[in-house]
Amino acid sequence: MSIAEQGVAIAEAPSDDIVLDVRDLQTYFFLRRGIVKAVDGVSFALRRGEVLGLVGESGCGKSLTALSIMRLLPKGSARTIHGEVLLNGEDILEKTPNEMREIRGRKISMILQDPQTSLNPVFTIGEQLREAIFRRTRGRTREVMREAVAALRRVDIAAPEQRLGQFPHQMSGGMKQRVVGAISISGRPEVLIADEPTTALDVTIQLQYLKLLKRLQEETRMAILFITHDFGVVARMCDRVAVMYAGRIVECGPVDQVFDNPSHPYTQALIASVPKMTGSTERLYTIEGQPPSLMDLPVGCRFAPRCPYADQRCLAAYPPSFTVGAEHTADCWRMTAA
Amino acid sequence: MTAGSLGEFEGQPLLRVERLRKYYPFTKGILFAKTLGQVKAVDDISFTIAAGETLGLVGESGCGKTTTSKLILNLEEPSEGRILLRGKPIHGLAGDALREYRARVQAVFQDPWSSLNPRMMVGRTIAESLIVTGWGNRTDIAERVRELLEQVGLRQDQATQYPHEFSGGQRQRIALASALASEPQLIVLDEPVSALDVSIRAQMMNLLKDIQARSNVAYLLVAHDLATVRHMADQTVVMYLGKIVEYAATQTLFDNVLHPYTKALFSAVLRPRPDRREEEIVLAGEVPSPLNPPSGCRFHTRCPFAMAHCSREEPPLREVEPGHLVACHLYDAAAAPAFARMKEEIVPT
Amino acid sequence: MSIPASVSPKPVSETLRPLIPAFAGLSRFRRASRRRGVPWIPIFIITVMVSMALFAPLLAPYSPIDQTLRDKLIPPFWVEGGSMQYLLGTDAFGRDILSRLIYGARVSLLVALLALIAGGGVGLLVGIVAGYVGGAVDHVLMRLVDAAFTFPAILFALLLSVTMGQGLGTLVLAISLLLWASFARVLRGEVLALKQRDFVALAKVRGCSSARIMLTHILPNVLNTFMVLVTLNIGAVIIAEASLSFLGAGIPPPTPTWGGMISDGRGRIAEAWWVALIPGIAITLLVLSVNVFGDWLRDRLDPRLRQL
Repeated sequence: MSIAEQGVAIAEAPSDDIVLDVRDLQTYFFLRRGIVKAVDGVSFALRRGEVLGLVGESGCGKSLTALSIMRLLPKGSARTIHGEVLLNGEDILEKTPNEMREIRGRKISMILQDPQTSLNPVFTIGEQLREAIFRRTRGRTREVMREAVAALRRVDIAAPEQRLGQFPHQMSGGMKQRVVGAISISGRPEVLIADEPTTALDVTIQLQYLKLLKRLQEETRMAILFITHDFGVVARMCDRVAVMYAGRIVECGPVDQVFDNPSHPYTQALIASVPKMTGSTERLYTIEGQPPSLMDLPVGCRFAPRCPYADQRCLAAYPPSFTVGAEHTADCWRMTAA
Repeated sequence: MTAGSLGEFEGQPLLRVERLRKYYPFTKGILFAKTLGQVKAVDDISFTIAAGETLGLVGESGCGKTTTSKLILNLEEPSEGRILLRGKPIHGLAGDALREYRARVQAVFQDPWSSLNPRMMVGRTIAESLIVTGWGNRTDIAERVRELLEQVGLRQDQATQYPHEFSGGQRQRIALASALASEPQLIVLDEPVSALDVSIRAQMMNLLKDIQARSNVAYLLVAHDLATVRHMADQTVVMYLGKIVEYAATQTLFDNVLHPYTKALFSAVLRPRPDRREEEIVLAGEVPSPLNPPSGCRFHTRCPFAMAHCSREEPPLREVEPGHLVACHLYDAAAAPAFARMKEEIVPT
Repeated sequence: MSIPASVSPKPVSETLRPLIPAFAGLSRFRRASRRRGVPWIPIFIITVMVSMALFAPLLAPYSPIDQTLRDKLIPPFWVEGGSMQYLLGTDAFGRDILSRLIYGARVSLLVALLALIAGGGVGLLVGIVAGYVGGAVDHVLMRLVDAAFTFPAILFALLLSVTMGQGLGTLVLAISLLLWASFARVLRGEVLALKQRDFVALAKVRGCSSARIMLTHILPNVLNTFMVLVTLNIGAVIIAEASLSFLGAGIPPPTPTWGGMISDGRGRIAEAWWVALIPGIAITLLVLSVNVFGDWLRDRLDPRLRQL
């Protein structure tokens, strides 16, 4: 299969090869009531063949980071005002809309949370898949058809020839999400952004889907930016994880290190507040209070108002990223000593 | 208020569900509808809930857990079987008896964005069940609303605000306060935390436990997340396609999972610190349609341990170990070899 | 078919809403930029017409029915032969058109108000009951609505005026019969969507009766739509009133109505155009203003904005 060959070719590249480099990204909403700093200085790098988890709660800016990278910000008041998004060294924020259309789907692709709204209900999945393939290959009908069947087979859809003629409503949620996956990777992107792709799925279907995604990722060596609120999904899917809070990445590191040695108090609290499958079932740890308003952010550390360790330093200035281990950083003044 | 009637039923469970079935006809045509088949949403299930206890009801889409909760809430009529609250059947109630039932059995639903009337002040929403039962005069009700707001961790002055002024977590607290208003004996919690953020989820779960400890209210917790059930429930029922497949005390069940479907559910729990050595059951395919459920054991089409007779004979739900009910042929005495094999293969030691 | 799903995927708007507080502001901003500002001119015109109706005896320079045959068919003041005595001229009976216009506003607006209260009210009731109760009740009510839509309403109104006699009551009844069905149909749809929201099921769990749920949970949530329907229909009602008066099924002469005035002037449209044209312009202005205002109101009360 051609995709496997491609995988081999890419595998020869050095493992340190960075595909996507996001530097100091700032995306704000400009409203009459004020400026909402939804993404406020986000930086991370994604290597070829790597899965980076972007974790955080509602409103932390993780989805908006993805939309900024794709340059698919909701029209109107949202604008990326600063930063670079380097795809293979080229800043895609500088590209024209036409160039961007070429990049989307072919170089960077995206899977959204809700398969229901990702597929067009009035077209068969075959038509939608063939359109995606044709746009890339401009191939003949028969080739496109063959590739569509192959694409469905790759995402473990049984009897793909029959499925091509079906409409989205004739399929279950898990199946639809796999079709969305097939469409998203049909352009053989180097980077796939998956924004909570399993949140709408049942647990056993979620496991199937994650395994499938992992397998495809290993076959094609594409890099995945995996956006989720679920640490379990991170543990399952990701090599590294970045934790976001109020528009910034507060901690970033290899998954095992972040779980074993969470350094930012927010990460610690998040991990502690998840109900566990083992151990005590007594009271769960909770974070008191609410995240700050993105229109009126504190001068210092954004987590300080809720942080049990906060002191004068934290209120005075936002901490820099301290290195706490190999490739492991945390934005917390407490790390100065470490 | 209910002390008298309580005494009569000493020793009875609070709620008893007996051989409950709910079939929805699947029809074609409008005026002269033709019944094409039946969706067996709930198919012969029985369980009990004791006062002050939490029963967790676990399963995936289409397993019938939401239908079960609607039946218990008396929002739907069962096709067969019955539900008893303190020994009295709950369906067919009318007038005062129905109002009394409504006061005793309350609910909190999943979606905080849909469960509050956007045009009603939250104080009025909380007071609703008190107003309709004529619980007291204006000042008594206002006092009770303040008390309830405080109980769920909101400020008293927030009673005059409208739902859009609150976050998802706060809305869920308001929903809980209005469920608590009539001092119910049972609250059906239908995925009460799954729409909330992780940190808010923990707050809500703690709150639910605190309230139970204080008021001895029983919960029916409908959930898909096993870890939530583990933290909240005393008893756990696992459902698959309208049937109960496993039923035991939560501790018992989590210590020794028996049914292959439950095992698959456990495998699907993504742990923040995965024990990578653990054996994993990934189910093939999707949940079959409840319109045309598989013959015999409904799980046999996806079961990695399915045997020849699983597709023919439906396994009854029986006690396999003390207090541990399972519906699976693996635990037939005749199927002992397969059982032994499975124990060897997958039960973590 | 209803297969109960326990974990329903959330519509995307629901999932996006909590994404960031800014999303709320965002859509508001977007709509605001697309939306026109407050429609001051239409509001002014509506205010003028309503004041004309309210204070007709104070504003009208002459009696609307007294005939001064000597002064018949005088053109408006800006036309040759016109005079400042009769600003908008006179009709074939020498009645002052301005005064008739002012008194005519009274009838037109009164009919509109009464018809909207009667027809809209029935539509509101039918829509809520059909939507909430559902089943056979819904079926029967909606077939009635269908029937009302297929009815030749103008003919029916003419028939009514013949059998019941001309008058305000007949006119209001005829127009209400035109109105209620469209109200009922739109509001029923709204109620059906509302019924799916959890708070309605919860109200039942809390012990509310169906009547109470319709009154305290359904009604307040459809009032916005109702108000928008009312404003959007004022124009249609005024036109209906004018048409019926024109056809002679309206208020009997000599009471001035705008439709009746057009009817009076139609025979001499060539030589005395103002008799028919001036009330025509008044109707156009009012209907246009009310419609622009209604559109604006609908945007303002957009349900997507309402929840934010």
